[in-house]
Amino acid sequence: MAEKSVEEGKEKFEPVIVGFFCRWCTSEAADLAGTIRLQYPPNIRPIRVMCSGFIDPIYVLKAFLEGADGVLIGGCHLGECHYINGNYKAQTRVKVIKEVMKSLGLEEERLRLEWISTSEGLKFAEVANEFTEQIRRMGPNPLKKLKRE
Amino acid sequence: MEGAFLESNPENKGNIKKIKESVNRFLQQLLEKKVVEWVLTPYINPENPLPERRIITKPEEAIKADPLTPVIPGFPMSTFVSEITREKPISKPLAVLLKPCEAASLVELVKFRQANLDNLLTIGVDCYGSYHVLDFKKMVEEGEKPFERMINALKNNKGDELFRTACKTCLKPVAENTDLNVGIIGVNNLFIQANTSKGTETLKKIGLKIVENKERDQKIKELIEERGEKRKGMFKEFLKELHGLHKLNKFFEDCINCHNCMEVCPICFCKECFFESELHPYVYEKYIKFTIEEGTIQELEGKLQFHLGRLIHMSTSCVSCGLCEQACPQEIKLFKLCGPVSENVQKSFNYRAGEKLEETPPITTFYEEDLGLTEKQAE
Repeated sequence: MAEKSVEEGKEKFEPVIVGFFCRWCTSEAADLAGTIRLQYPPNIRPIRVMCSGFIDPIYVLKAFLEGADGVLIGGCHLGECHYINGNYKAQTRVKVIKEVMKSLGLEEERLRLEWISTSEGLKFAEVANEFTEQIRRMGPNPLKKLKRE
Repeated sequence: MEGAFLESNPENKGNIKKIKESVNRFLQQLLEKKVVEWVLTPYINPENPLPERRIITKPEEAIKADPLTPVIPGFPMSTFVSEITREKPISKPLAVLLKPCEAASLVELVKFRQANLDNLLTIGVDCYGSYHVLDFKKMVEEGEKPFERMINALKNNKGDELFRTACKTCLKPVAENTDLNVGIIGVNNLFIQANTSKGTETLKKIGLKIVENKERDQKIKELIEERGEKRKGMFKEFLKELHGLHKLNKFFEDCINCHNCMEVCPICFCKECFFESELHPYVYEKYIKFTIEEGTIQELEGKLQFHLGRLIHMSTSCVSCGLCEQACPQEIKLFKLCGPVSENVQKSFNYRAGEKLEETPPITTFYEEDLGLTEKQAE
């Protein structure tokens, strides 16, 4: 699953990031970022969901346990949800996941929630760059190691 | 707090048999005076060492009720109450005897609309600690009396090594949110404490004299403080033992995926559970895909996914009853995981499961303000 590019004989770590993007905002922002030719790393594997409130913690956990190095959840700004309050639900759920991960020492920084609206292509590119860089610094997900040992 | 002493004869002070008799007489009076028509209580079955749950309707049956027995046999009482009242409120007035953790989980179930308190008289039973079902059975078979052992531990205020871990660290020895409490902590005779107007009315109907009891309040406070310190230390230890994926993997090494912990959990009430659906198990294609990609994979049984996923789902409402640990056939000390983790989660939401009936659980509450998870945009 891990992509490794060989650079001058030395293996460089390329993180795998699973993105859950709301169909109404962050997905569109990703499109916009592409349209205005902003560069952002190809490490993110986007999954388009109808609403950020759709994302059950199980899917985030499943992504981590099956080897994702990071998970990025993108939703509409608070108060702008297409389904009234989906992003509030996402917010609470992410907080629970983060608290559980923190308690168990599972590096909760690997999970990130961002509010990116349709017009914020620039913000999307920035977040994608920053998050990929952060995960690259953190190194591979420890579970991946566990799988290989 | 308000309440009434049941046994005013000083000769009976601290007599264990009399405590049991007094409780039974109280239940008998409830039925005789028609305060309630039915009573749901743990009940002595002479054939088995463990008490069974039974609804009694006749006053003379109350002699065999055994609500103070220090064990939770299998399922919590709140699950039964939920089964009885989930569809519609019960038609006849029913009194239920609940241990503090069972009462707390009933409150959570009411919040999730899985139980209905209409026509229900909830009676909390003070619990100084309870034993593991198997320990309890063994004790009874060997001729030792678990109830007397618990009462002796309570009198000496020393605790008992054999109590379940959840009970050793329990901060709810006295039920909150119940109409009445059967008090054995901090009193010499049995004390019926009234928490609500419904409770006070009940005591008046039976004809008991209502008095103030401040001594009990003080003693309960002391017990909770003492336990709180112990709990802090133990929880820190537990989290250290489970820090990181390697340790977690080792912790669940011998889990057999039986889902017993989920079955007994009072909070896990979903009719359709993700972990019992078709989506949970790994299928043929996944094994092939992963093996080709990784070269080698460990067994994909989804144990960690189940336990961590379940933890995330129920930790906001966990009442620390520790029944998951009791139900585990592999003797995995599950309370080490859900006790401290859910405490952290609930603290972060400034919420305590089972404390207030008016509060809404965090996962159904919408926070108008940003929870500080995303960077605030400078405007």
